Amino acid sequence: MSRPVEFLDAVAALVRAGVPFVVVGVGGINFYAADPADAVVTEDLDLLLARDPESLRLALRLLAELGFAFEAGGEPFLDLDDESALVGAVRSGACVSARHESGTALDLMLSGAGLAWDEVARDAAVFRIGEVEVRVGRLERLLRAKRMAGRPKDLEFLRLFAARFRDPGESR
Amino acid sequence: MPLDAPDDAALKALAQRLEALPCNRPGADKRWVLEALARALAFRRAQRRARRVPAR
Repeated sequence: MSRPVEFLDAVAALVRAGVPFVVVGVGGINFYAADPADAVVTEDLDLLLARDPESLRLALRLLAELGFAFEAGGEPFLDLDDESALVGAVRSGACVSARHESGTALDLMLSGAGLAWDEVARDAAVFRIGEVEVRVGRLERLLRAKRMAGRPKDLEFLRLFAARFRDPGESR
Repeated sequence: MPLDAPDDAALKALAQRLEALPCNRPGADKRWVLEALARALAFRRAQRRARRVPAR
């Protein structure tokens, strides 16, 4: 087994390599939690990538060096230098899943409901993770994206999230 | 909408209130978020392993 790679290692490495991405999804929403008790466990971390083949290639090469394997649309994504595959993934707005045998899982998203790159990147919040700064989608955008995704699990998440963080002054 | 999920106005108000918390100021160190996620998943994996019935 290769050296374990934690979420922190992978995300920091992507930042250092200059990969343009914004943390989105439940993992992004967790950045606005006050402490671990308020965070929601998710199986993977969603990263919205700039929608261009070069950004995808850079991310894949770096993660491959760390020992990640990839798949998109249920198929292994093997040739990281296959220009047509990279362009096709970007054009179709694919989600490339990056999995490490130590359990760390990243979803490299090239599109998403309510998650246009230009908008999400324009006003992303900037937080530190140790020594590096990471961009995280604005909370309102991330919550609205869940609503637009509209799957039962997304709507249930929003219902529970709103109940958990209800304004104490709000009438019930 | 099948479930009573909050509407856009409610989500906006909620987001603005949480973003305004001192812990969410720009540049705040959120290293713990990724560390907590890794710990939680490691715990889940350990739970799954412990529940597995050994093959006979």
